[in-house]
Amino acid sequence: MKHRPKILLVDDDVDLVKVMSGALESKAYEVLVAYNGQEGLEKARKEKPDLVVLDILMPVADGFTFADQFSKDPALAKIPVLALTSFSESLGQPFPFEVSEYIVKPIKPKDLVAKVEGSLKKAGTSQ
Amino acid sequence: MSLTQRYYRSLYEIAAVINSAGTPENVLNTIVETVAKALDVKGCSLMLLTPDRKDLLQTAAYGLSDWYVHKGQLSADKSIPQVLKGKPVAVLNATEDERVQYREQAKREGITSMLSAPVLFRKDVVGLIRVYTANQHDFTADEISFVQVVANLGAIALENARRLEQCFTEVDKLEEERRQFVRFLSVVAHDLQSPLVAIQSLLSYMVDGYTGEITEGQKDLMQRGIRRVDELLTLITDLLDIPRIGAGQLEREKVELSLHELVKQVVESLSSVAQKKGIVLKVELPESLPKVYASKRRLQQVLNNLISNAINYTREGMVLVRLKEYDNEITIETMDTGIGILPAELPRVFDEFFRGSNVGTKGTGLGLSISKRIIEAHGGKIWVESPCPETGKGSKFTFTLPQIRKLGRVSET
Repeated sequence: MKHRPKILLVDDDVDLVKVMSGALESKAYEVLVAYNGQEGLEKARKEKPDLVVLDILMPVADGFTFADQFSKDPALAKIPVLALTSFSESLGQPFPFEVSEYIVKPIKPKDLVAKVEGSLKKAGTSQ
Repeated sequence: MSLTQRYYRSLYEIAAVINSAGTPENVLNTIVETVAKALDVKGCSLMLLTPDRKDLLQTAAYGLSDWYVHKGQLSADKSIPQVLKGKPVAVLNATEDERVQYREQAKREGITSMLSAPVLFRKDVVGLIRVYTANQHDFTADEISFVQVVANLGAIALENARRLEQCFTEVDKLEEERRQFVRFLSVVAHDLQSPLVAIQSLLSYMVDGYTGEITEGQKDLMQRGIRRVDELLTLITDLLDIPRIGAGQLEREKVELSLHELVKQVVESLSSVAQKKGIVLKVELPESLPKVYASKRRLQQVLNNLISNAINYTREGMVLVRLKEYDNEITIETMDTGIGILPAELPRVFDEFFRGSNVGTKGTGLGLSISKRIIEAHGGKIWVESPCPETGKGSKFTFTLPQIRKLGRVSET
């Protein structure tokens, strides 16, 4: 039986979430949404997604806090994280935590889908 | 050693400690100790007037018991008003003299005679220095003038220390204000960019056909919208970048790095843009180059700016990036066969918001001014020539970076 990969989107921007979930759902991914880091951690623990798309700058437990707790949880640590970062924050700066891949905002839906596919393939959970 | 010699020696010691810019505590403690030893007396103390000039605070003491030093509040009224008017006062028997506030305590401490001299700063009495003897002693004119000189030195030392402390407080305040400003800018950047990023993603979502078929006309309009939002995003990034590149602010980011890698990366990332325009993008690197001490992302930003400008303003021909080592410096040149810069406009190329009159409204007009700030923050120089001397057309941007050796760092090899 084919496994339908579960993607958890953690982002506080409603419009970005709409775009990202729309693009991923069109590719038959199961999409879960959390609007802050705290909610994201709870959903991740409960649902065990195959991949997390994580916004770095958010109110209520930002991406750094999320990733820190995420990587300390043995049940979650192996799940690949795709980080979203804005242009001014990135510019070749290393992330203070390990991410499997990152996307520089603005997000082009097609790029997101490609990076999600790539990360899942690397982790061995492609469709 | 004669008395005069002893005085001179003490004054020399006090001057030395004042000059060493020690802490105020340190300086004052040295003063009271030196005086007590020079006069060969029981002890010495220094007291300062409170801002309301009503009380005296024991600030430094030598040869006195803790109990005596902390015997109680010293009222300025009772403690020899004459001293506070600027004249030294000698008391032959402190245990009986009405002018002494704590006579009983003086007796218990074993003090008999006392000499008090005002600490004067710019004609204002700011405190007093007091000398205590165990046996009854009639202070000589020489002793009194010696103590008076020391008291005046003490005032200078205090003032120095106060100013130094003020400077430190001021520097701390400025540093904190700067930190807050940079934090504020990050928040502003994020809040300004977020809605724009969302708009762009929504438009791309439609352009990519996720909401159903769109006509070529609709697609073109949406793409124009995306481009305009892109311009605004770049402008915001650039504007908020300027205050973040001031002197000293890049120090934290600087590391030893090899330019080879960096140049290759940037050229690689821009090669598809050049290819689309049919422009040859070439790099000339010497076999080896010394490392530089620099912020990786900031140098990336400069290289990206110069090379993408060269590609943007060139219709046909080539863009050449060349690295050279010359006279303790590394030189990075970007040459193109593009439209070049009008001679009259050359001096303004690095000005904020400058746009060449021959380039239309492309760009924010901030890229080169930011690049200049970055290079200067690395101790380098940047300049432009147009037409490029090598190709006879277009322009040539050159910047230099000091080698690590020149910065006093020894490389491993």
